[in-house]
Amino acid sequence: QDMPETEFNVVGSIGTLSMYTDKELPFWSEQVPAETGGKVKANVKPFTELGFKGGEIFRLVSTGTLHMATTVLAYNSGEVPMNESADLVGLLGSVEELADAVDAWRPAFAEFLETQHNIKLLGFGTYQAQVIYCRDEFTAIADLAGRKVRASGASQQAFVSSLGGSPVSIAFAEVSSSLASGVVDCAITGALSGYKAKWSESARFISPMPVNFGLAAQLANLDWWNGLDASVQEYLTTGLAGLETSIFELAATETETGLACNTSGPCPHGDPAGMTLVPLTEADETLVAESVASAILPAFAERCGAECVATWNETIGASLGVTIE
Amino acid sequence: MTDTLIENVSRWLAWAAGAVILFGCALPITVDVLSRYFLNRSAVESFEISGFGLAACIGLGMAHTVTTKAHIRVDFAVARLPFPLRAACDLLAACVLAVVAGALAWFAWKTAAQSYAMGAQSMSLLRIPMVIPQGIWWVGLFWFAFVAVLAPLRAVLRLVRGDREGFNELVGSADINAEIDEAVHAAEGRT
Amino acid sequence: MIATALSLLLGLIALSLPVAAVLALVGYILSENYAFFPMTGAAGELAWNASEDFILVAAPMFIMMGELMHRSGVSGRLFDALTPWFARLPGRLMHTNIASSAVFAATSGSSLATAATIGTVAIPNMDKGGYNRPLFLGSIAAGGTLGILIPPSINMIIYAVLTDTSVTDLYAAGFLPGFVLAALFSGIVLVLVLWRPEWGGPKIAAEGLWRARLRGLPQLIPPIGLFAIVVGSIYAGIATPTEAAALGLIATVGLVAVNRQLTLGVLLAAFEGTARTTCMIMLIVIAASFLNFVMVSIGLVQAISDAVLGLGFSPLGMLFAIICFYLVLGCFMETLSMMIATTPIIAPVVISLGYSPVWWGVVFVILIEAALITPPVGMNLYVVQAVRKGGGAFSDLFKGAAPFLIAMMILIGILIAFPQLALWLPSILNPKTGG
Ligand code: NA
Ligand code: NA
Repeated sequence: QDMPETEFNVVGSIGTLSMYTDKELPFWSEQVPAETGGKVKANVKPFTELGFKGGEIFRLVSTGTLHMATTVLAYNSGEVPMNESADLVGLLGSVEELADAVDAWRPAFAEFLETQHNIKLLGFGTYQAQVIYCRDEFTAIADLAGRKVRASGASQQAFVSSLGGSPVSIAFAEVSSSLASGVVDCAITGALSGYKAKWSESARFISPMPVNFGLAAQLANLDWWNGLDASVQEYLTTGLAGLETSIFELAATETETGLACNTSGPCPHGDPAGMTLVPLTEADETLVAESVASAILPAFAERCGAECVATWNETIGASLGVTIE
Repeated sequence: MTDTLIENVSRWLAWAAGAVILFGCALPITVDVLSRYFLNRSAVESFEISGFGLAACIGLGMAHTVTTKAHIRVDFAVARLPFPLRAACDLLAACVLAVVAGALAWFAWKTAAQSYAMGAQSMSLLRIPMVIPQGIWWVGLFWFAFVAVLAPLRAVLRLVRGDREGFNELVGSADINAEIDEAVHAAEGRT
Repeated sequence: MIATALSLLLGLIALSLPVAAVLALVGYILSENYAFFPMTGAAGELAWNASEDFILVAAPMFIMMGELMHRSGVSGRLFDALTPWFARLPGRLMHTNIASSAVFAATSGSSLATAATIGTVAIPNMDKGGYNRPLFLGSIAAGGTLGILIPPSINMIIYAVLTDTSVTDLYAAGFLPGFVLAALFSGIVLVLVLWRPEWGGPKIAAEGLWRARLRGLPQLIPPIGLFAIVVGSIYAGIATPTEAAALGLIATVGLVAVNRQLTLGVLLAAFEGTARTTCMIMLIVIAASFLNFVMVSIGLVQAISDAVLGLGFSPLGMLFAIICFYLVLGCFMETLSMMIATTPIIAPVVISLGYSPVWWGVVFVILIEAALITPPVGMNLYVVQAVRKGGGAFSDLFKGAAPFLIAMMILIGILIAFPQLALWLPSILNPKTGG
C-alpha cells in the first residue's frame, strides 16, 4: 500500500477496563502498524493515565489539542445535550438494541458534530450494561422506593427519583467502600465490572435491567482529519468500523458473563459470586416505561431543544417507535 | 500606599476563600450527610457544590500566597550566598512565579470562555451554568497573576531605592519562617 | 530524556525557584522538546479538574480544623489528663508527649498541626526543669509526625487520589502501625532514660496518683468523640472519608464555641491561614497534574519505570533502594512537594514489583514522617523550635529527633517482614477491597 508516514496521538477509554485493554490498545499498538507496514503510527494512552476526568476530552478534540480520542458521550451531556440521545436512561434493553439505535442515529449525529463542533465521527463503542446492585433483598424495581441509590449525572438521578428511590451523589472513588459500609444501599455499575470489583461481598442482590450503557464515540479533530492523506482516511475509516463491531460484541458478551458470574455461573473469570438475580417482571417494565415517558424523555427534550428533539424523533425514536411530544 | 492596598485586597479575598470552605463546603456536606442518614435523601447536592467551593477557594486565595510568600522554595543553599547573588535568585524566583501565574490565568480564562460559548451546565440536577464557578475561579486567578507580576517589579523598585530590607520582605526567601509562624500562631491562637 | 528531566527538576529546585513553578516549567520544557503536538492546550482543563476535585475538598477542612483546634481547649486538657498515667515510668512527660500526640493524631489530619498543638501545651512543662531538652523536644517533633499515619491524614488522601487507592483502606492500614510507632517511640525514650537516668525528669508525687488518673479520664471524651466523627463515621456507614472531614470541621467549630472562643477575629484568622496553606498546596497539585500529563504523553513515566526495573535488582533490593532514595530526598525537600512530585513515578514501580498499593501507602507515609524530622528541611523540627519561646540552639532539635528515626526504620522493617500489620485491619473492615 502506498500510504505516507503518519504519526498521531490517540486518547483511549478507561485504562483498566476491557474496552481499552482488549480492544483499543491491541488495535492501535499492534493491528494498525502491522496492517500498514508501520506507515501509520498511533501513540495511544488511556485518558485515566493522563489525569483527565472525561468531560474535557470532547472539548480538546474539538479545539485540536487532541487528534483523536474515544470518549463516553454522556460525560459531556451538560454542554452538548445531543450527546446523550442514544444512551438515555431506561430506554434500551440490550446491547443489540443499542447497536440498532446507534445505526439509526449515526448520519445525523456525524453531521451535527462536523458542523457544530469541528469533530469527525469515526465510530462508536460501548461498555457493558450498567445494572443495579443492592445490599438488601428486593423482588421488583418498585422495592427500590426509599433506598439510597448512588447515581451519577442528572439523568440517572432523575430515573432513580422517578422509581421512588433516593439518588445519592458520591465520588466514584468512594462508591465501592460506601456500598460496603452502608453509606448507600444500592449502586449502579457494569454487570462484569461489579463482579471484578467484588461488589458481591457487600451487595447480595442484582437486577439485570440495563440502566444505561456508557455509549462512547471515536472522535477526530476535523481539521486534522481533513489534512490526512485520502489513503490513510480510508484505512482508518474501515479499521475503526471493525473496532466498533468488536467492541459491541465484547460488551454484549460481558453483560451476559457478568450477570452469570455475579449469580450462579458459569463464570470464566473466577468463582460465581452467588448473588440473587432479581428478574424483571412485567410490572417492572411498565414502571420503567412510565418513568422514561414521564421523567427521562421530557427532561431530555428540555435540555436538548426543539431541533435536537426533531432529530431524535426522526432517527432513534423512529427505530424504537417512540416519539417525544 | 498601593502596596498596602494590594496586600489588603489579597487578604480580604483570602478571608472569603476560607469562608467558602466553612460555609460552602463543610456546612452543605454536613447537611447532606445528616439528611441522608435521617431522611434517606440528599438535600443540597453538596457533592457538586463543594467541588466548586474548593475551586473558588483556590482562585480567591491564591494571590495571598504571593503577598505572604507562602510558596515553598528549597533555599537552604541560596540562603548562604552573598546578597547580590541571593537577590538575583529571589528575583528570578519571583519572575518565574509571575510567568506561571500569568499562564494559569490565561488558561483558566480560555476554559471559562469555552464553557460560556458552549453554554455548559453542571452534570447534577442543579444544572449550574459552568461559567459561574469557573468565572469566580478565573477572577481570583487573574488577581493572582496581577499581584505576581507586580511583585518582581515592586522588588526591583525597592532595590533601586537601596531598600534591601523591603526587598527581602517582598520576595526574599523566608518561606520556612512564614510556614512555622503559621503553624505556631494557629496553635497558640492568633489575636 | 530521563536525565534531562531529572537534572532540570533538581537544578531549578536548587536555584530556589518555587516548587510549584518548577513543576509547571519542567512540564512545559519537556512538552516543547519531546511532544509532537502542543500540550499546553490541555492546561486549563487539567487545572480546573484539580481545582474542583471532590476528594481533595477534605484537605482544606483538615487544615482549618488544625487552625481552630487550640481554641477548643481540647489539647491542653488531654495533656493534663494523660500526665498522671506516665508519672511512674522513667521518662515521664516525654511519654505523655508521645501519647497525647497519638491520641490527638486520631483527630488531626496534619503532622504540623499535631506537633504545634501538643508542643504549645507541653513545652512550658519542660522549662520547669529536669528533662534532657533535646530528647524532650525530639519526642514532640517525632510524636507530631504521627498525625499523618494515624487516621485521618491529608497525606493519605492525596496519595489515594494520585494512585487510585481507597482512602478507607489506607486509613485502616495506618491505624495499627501508627500506635505501634507510638509504642516504639516510647520504647526509645525508655531505653535512653534507663541508660542516662538524669535525662528522665523529676519524680512526681505518688500520692493520689490513681485518683488523678481517674479524674482525668473524662477529658478523653472530646478527642474520642472527634475521632468517632472523623474516622468512625466512615466505617459505621454514615459518611465517606471526604464527608467525614466536613463533619469534623463543623464539630471543631462547635467545640470552639463551647469553649467561648468563637469570635469573628478567631474565624477570620482561621480563614486566612486555611486559604494560604490550601492555595500553596493546590498550586503544586495543579502544576504536578500538568507535569504528569506531559510525562505520560511523551512516554517518560514508562521509560523511567522500564529503566528502574531494568536494573535487575530483586524486589526487596529495589524497595531498599527506593527507601534510601526517599530518606535522602526527604532531608532536602518539603514533604508535600516531594509526595506529589514523585508518587506518579515511584508508586507504579513499587506496585509492579508486587507490593500492594495500600501497604506502600503506609510505608511511604512513614518515610514522609522521617522527612519531617530530618535536617536541613524538616518542618516538624522548625515548628517545635518556633513553639519553644525561650529560644535555644536549633541543633537541640535534630539531635533530639535522631533517636526516633531509628523507631521509624524498625517499623518499616516490621512492615516488610509482616505486611499483615498494615493489611489485616483493612481486610477485616472492608473485605472486598482491603489488602
Ligand atoms: Na491523623
Ligand atoms: Na527533612
